[in-house]
Amino acid sequence: MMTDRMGTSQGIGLKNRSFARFAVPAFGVRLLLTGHGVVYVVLLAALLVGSINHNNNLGYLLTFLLSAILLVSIIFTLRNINGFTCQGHGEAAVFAGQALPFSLSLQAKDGPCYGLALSLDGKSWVRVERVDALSVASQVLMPVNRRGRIEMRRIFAASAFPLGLLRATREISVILTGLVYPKPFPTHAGSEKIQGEREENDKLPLHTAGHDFDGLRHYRPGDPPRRIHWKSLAAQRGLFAKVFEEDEGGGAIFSLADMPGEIFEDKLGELCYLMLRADGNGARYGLRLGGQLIAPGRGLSHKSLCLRALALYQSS
Amino acid sequence: MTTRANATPGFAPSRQEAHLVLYTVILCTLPHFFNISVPAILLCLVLWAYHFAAHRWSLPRAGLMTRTLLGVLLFAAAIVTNEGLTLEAFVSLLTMMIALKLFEQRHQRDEMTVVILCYFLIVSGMFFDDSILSTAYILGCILFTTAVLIHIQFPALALTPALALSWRLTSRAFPLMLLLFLVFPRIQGGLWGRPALLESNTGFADEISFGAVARLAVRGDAAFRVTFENGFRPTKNQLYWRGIVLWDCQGETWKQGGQMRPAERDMDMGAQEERRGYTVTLEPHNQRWLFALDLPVRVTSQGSRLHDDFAIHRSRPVTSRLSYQGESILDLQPVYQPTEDDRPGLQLPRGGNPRARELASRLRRTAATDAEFVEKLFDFYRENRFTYSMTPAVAPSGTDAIDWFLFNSRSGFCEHFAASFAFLLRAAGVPARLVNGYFGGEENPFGGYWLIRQSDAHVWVEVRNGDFWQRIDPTLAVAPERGLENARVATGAEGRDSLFSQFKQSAVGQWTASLFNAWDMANSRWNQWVMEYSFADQFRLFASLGIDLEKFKGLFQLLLIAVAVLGATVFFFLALAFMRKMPREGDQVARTWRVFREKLEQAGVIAHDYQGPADLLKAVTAARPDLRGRAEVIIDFYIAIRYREQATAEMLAAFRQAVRQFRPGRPGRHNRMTGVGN
Repeated sequence: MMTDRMGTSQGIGLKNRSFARFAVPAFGVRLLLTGHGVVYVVLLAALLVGSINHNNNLGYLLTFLLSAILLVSIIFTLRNINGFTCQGHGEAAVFAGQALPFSLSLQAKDGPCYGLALSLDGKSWVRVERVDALSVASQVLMPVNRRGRIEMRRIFAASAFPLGLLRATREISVILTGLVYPKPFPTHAGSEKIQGEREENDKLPLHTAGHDFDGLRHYRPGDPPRRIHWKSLAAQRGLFAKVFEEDEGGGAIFSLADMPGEIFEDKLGELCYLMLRADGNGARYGLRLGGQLIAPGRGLSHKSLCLRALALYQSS
Repeated sequence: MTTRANATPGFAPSRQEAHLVLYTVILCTLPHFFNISVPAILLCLVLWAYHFAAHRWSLPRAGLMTRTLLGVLLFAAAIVTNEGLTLEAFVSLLTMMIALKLFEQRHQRDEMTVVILCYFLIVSGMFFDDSILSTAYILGCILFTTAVLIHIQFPALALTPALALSWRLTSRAFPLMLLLFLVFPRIQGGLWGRPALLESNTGFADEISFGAVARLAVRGDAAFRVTFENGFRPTKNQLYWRGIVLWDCQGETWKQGGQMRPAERDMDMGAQEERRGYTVTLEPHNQRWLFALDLPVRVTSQGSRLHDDFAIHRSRPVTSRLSYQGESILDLQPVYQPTEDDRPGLQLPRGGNPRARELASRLRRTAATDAEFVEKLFDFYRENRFTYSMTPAVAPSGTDAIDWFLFNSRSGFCEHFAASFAFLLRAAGVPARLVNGYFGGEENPFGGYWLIRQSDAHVWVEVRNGDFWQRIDPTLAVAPERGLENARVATGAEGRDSLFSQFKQSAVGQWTASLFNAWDMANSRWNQWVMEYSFADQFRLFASLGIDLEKFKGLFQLLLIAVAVLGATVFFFLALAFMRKMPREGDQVARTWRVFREKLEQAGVIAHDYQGPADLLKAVTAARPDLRGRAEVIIDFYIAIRYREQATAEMLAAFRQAVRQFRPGRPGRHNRMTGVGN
């Protein structure tokens, strides 16, 4: 995985450059007054003017105390925003048009960090109340419209800890990878037929009990609900799935070349639609993408193999 | 772990948090109950009670309309009940607005606003009371308010750790606060006129009428403190503190009257060794005069000068605590000044008080000299069993107050005796005037200073005796004990045989007295060192550091501001440098890569953050085929550095070099070219 290589590649440029080590944090974090911070500063200015006008030393003392608290809080703010590490892990996958949930794990370096907000685009934020030395998982969402592999190399972290008057924003280098499947596009296109398959390839003979029915086997996750043998469940014998003879052979192959339409991406969407429909029906299916052929199969791993191929396929 | 999505605009506060905010508001408002008007206090209490009840029994919350209407009403109430645009009105407005704002707490940000306003509220307490106790309370409130501010935003940090964090913040802020406090330039005299405090207006006034001093004398708070130089200790009956001189008699009311004229330049009276130097620390009384031991010959305070009647006037009212040096010669009589010729001290109202006038002329006829006449007047007071009382009977309206006092009630406070005495003198054609000031004081054995309280307020008479004005104190003729005790005790307001006076005699009483003295000394030192830290002190501080501010004169204030700002900045960056963990963020490869992408973007290649290097190359090929060759080199470098196991420093340098030298042209020019090509 790329994430593994991340460790070695990071920090190459920083070797033997102690100056850079100092310069980077000072400018890597952006500090901004929040709305309340502005109110606070205006308040301080008013108090200072009042103190000067009344030549009131207690006023000076308290005004400077409040100012100093604001200044000192900067140290805490920076320590908080820099006090954790952030790593992306796993590979998220969604269909185009949905939001891609990147998984992150956060881990405090020293003490706990509070009130962190994470964002990929700087607009929508996800809040993490507390990050400890034990790693904490979080998710950031990114809406995606385009099929393919997505790689995010940075994430924004922001926090107004401790007073909420100053907000520090930091960019963190992470590697977040995601896979975006094409958006399913309804179509009526058919499939290639293989090995004397039935006409209606995507309809299963569920109700034609007889010669095809092969027996029962224990239910496996991923078996379509229509194949569940409800009678045995009702008789409290457990969950069983019906097995049909042709289950282990045959199946449809959807080919990119057969898809109607002009736009390449739409064709992939149609393919995706057909494939998902077949999967939902529990049928065996395969894909033919240009020169690439995925033999018919079924089940979760087969489905994800096909979707991945759809996501990554590029016409040459 | 707790994750809250979309937390930026804030979320509805919990009941516990809402209560915390209410407690903060109450804590910060309480000290102001001494300052704001009773209706304002009641309104505040009602709003709080409703707020509390609304949480408990879910009463209907005030809507926007109600709140706006209430706001306008409260604004009017604050102004009206506190006599216009005073500081009190401002504070009561603030308290009521905060109480009102409590109702609008649908979001965390509303709570934050309330808490931040609480800072303002508690700090504005500085205008009213700057004693140690009050300062400690304010500091405590700041500590608590900060903790609440942290806790309501970061509930993952419970209140106790939030308090600990607040303490860490505050204690670390202290050195910086001290630095700023010491170097921030003090501008003498303030920026513009200071709104007076209503509270201090009840102090000494520039006129005396029956009952005025008595009202003041019930107050036990400090009027001023005096430290004598060279260990001088005056006797009790020497402690006449001269304030203003009243010339204008309007019956029982005496006013300052006439113009004020400065005395001759430095009245050179008495031998140098008879002059007693002292420092007075005057509590603000909002009047334009200072107090000095009778008889002052010199007073050193900016904007103040000695007048021909030996009153010390000031160009601006004393609105904050003031220290000044004085020099006096005890037992010296004020010299009659030739400038006083147009003010002979004989003016009386046209009519009124016929019995007093008649008495004066009768007694004067029987006396051979003015001095004998004064003796006869004293006899009159002594023989007619006048009594000294803080709460004498008030003359019925319509009667002549002096006549009524002299012949009916025969019971009064110092202003009754002094005003009637001076009236009688003038009625007989003897020049006389009233002096309003303090008499007495209590020595603090710990601090070596004298404390003069409001209850030492006193009025006495000065009668002209040839070239001098002679002090006569008719009150002492009636109540000699006033010479030993202050008015509260002397009048029996604290009854000689009362429980309190017995208590004062007891061992516990002695002990509490010394406790009080110690506490007053602590306050006095606090005032002296902290609350009166002034331009002069700054001057000395810088002088001790070897910086002579005199040299800079006009520039020095700017300089001080610069030093203050610089100090804060240096502190900030030092703090940054000494932060324990240095974040290692943004490795150079990523930054160089970003530079490259930005350059491409300028060149018209639209690339998304999530696109990998291979995608980028395609995008370049599509948008700018002319750049393909150069971009490919860089992209290959990047892939090599990022995704191959070992990246050498040379590779990295070459990569950065290539990006630096990558200069794509403007997109427009290129497009035109391709347009032609196609």
